Amino acid sequence: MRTRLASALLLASTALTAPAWSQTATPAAAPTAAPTGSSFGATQPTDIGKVKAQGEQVTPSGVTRVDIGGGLMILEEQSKNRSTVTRDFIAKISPTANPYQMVELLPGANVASTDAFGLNGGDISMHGFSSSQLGLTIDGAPVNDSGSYSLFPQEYLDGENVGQVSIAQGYSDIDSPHIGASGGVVNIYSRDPSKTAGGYTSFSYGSNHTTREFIRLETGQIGRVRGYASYSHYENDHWRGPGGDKRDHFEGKVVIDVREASKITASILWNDAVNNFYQAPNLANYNAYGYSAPQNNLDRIYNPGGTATNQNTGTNGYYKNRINPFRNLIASVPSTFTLTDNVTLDVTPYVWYGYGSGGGATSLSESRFNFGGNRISQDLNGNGTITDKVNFYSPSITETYRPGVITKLTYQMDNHRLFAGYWYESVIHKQYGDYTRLNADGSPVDPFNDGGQQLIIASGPLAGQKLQKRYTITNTRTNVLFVGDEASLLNDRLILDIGVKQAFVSRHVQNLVPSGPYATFQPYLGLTDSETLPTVGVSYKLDKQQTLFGGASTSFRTPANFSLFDQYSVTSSAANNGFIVHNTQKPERTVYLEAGHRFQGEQLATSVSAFAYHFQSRQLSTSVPDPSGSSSFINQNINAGNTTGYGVDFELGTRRVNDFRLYAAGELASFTFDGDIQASSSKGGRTITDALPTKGKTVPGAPNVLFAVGLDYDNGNLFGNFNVKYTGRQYSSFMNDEQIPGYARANAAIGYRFDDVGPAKRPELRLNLYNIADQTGLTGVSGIQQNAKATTGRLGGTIASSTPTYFVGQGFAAIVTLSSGF
Amino acid sequence: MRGYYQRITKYPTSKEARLLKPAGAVVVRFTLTRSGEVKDVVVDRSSGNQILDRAALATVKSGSPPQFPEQAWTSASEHVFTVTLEFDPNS
Repeated sequence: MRTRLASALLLASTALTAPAWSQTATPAAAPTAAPTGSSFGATQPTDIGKVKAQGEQVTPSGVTRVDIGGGLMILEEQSKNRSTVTRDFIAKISPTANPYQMVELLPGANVASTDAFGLNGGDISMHGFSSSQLGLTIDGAPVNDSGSYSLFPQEYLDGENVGQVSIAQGYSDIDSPHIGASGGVVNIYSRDPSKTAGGYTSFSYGSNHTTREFIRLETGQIGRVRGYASYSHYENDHWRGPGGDKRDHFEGKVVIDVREASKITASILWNDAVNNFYQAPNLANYNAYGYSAPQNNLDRIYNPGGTATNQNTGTNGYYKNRINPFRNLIASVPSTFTLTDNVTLDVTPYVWYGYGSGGGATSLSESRFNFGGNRISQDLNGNGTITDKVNFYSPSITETYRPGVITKLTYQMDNHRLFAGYWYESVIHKQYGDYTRLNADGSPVDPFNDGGQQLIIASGPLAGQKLQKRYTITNTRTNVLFVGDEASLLNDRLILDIGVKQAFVSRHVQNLVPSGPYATFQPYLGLTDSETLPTVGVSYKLDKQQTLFGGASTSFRTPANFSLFDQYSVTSSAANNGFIVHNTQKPERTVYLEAGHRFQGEQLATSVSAFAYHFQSRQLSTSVPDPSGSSSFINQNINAGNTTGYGVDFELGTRRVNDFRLYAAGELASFTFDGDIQASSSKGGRTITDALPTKGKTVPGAPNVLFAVGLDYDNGNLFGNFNVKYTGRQYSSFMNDEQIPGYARANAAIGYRFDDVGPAKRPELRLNLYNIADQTGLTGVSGIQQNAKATTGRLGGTIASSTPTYFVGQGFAAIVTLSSGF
Repeated sequence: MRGYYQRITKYPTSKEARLLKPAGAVVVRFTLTRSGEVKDVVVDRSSGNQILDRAALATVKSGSPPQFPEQAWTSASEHVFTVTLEFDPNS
């Protein structure tokens, strides 16, 4: 073998001498004329010449046909567990898919969708952490709700513009901009503009009268600049119950190559959507009536109670006023500047703006309703009396201005990559709850509640003010400093990542709900958190194909802003302030450990990792005894104790073999409460502080088993895939006294990619099939409760039950998409 | 030799490379012993991008190039080479 190679080298050297060695100081005849002895320093280097590595050729939809596992895996290099989907997968699922659906096959991702196509949202949890405990970024900008950390996947990027989506199941990177991620993260990245002018368009039609149109126009490379702008529109009918979803969406991105190895990227997203809610049923109603029954859906007919003067809001709310209108803008400018060969500056300024609401109607009694601590009587329907009950549209409105900037300076010093950075953010988060009139058909006069149609108090000391069911302004300022080093040791076999970040969070809430004779409201409350968060990771190359990796990290979650302001009921006839505010709650904090093994061969890649974590100070809104001594309960955010989690994640993927690529992933895990959780109970006619016996119980909404298999076929023209995901049993309460069984769902796609036809580049016709076995059932927990059955507390009191609610998985659905580059 | 490096040089596929899609050329200098061992691998001229520099170093370090012929650099136990690895994201 060596002889053959030597001969080949000699031949090659003869053939390549001119171009390869002509640049050397020593002439091409050097091989036999070279000096003897050690060459290093004793002779000039021999230049082999130039070799070129190109990225993969891609279709107009972004498919390379070479990514591992059909685009469900990449060759990860980090010292932490992370999984990524690429365009090879994203481009073959429905273009309507939201980011949760893009990652649903990855290890550790527990995803439930309200609808097959992902238009209405859904939920994700990872490793026992709910979506509001995960961090999510788009092109580096954090997009969790600033106050509650909620996520709204239906508002994010168009599928055609998503370059890749990564999940880190355990913890965020040290430079990730999160104050609410006690668990892992989801990072979405838009694709870069093409260097070729043109564009891409797609048209989809599917079940439930789903229609979607998309167009993207590309400038191509113009000097140092290239960019695109895209627009999409979709609408559909809900697959169960009345209503539908409708969205208009704009995106743009510009890349400026400042100079070699430096570039500025600017991306922007504008979203304008009005969706109806899907009613989340409880288990009893679902089992008794099925998913399509009126009991489990919004009201199809507006029937406000028989007379115009005694209105009510119906059973589950009339669908035309159970809406979720939202407009949001996300812009970021992630840029990299190479200052010297050794110094790089990354800067990501961003801004997030959102305005929208969710809710339904409320029936107000003219004779008495509340505004803060004040009681109001008012003729609301103009008939001259104050004896009626009148329906108003009363959503919870949120308006957020969220600018920030993340900077990171990296210095390559020999085998060390030293970095230091700073993240600053200042958020204004307004939450209010106006009341506006309904049209005669039950729809709101002003769905966005911003057109001056709000209900105004007519008389008394509050005359002229808008009635608000909540009215707060939260200002959250975040300063985070981080430093670290990535050291490459043992001839690059050992990579050691160490770092620490120091987070300072200052959160202040102004509560503008007016106090009055019947209740008082704390007008201002703030908290500050200072957290030191170390992290360490290590990877060691056993050989060219195998790597061991592991690490330990810490993360935190500042208390949600709603722990800082009183809440009340406009319609309550009892105590008018049902909340205890406080600023003494600890942040959630997680200490996370993991260790794993990666194999990255020519045809096969695998990753297996074990994890264990200790999660402390779970934040929970729960009922507590009224401190004033009444027999009623009121709400408070409490520390619900600690959780221990451990388990194993794995994934494997193959390169293309006979045009097939296989992927498999799974998780076996355990997530349990370390102790009991504070709860209120009734004992002997009194309300007492008791303890819910949750020690050893499984965290709800966190299955112990997840398993997925995907098979991709793509011969360049004909393509398709088949995916199956099994999700194990999930509890829906902290007491584990209600659950949904495990279930499997299979999706498939088949399509044909034509050769160029005139100006149309690689037009595609694709059919996506969802839930091909047409299995219906509950697929996730929408509303987790502490106990679904009345429970005896540790102190002997009776802890009242609350009813969990669920996501319903859609049956079979199909959508066909015609797309093409141009 | 060049054919060998052409064959093993791939555009990096890490998450970061996929996002930044850097382009550039890296000149790597290394020593090859008669027994085929690659050592003293350094960046001779940086691309200006650390992702590409690292990818180039990793490519050369992980390589097992053919031994150079006995007739070449006779009695030298090793020889120094340079190779230019050019990376183009192609999109």
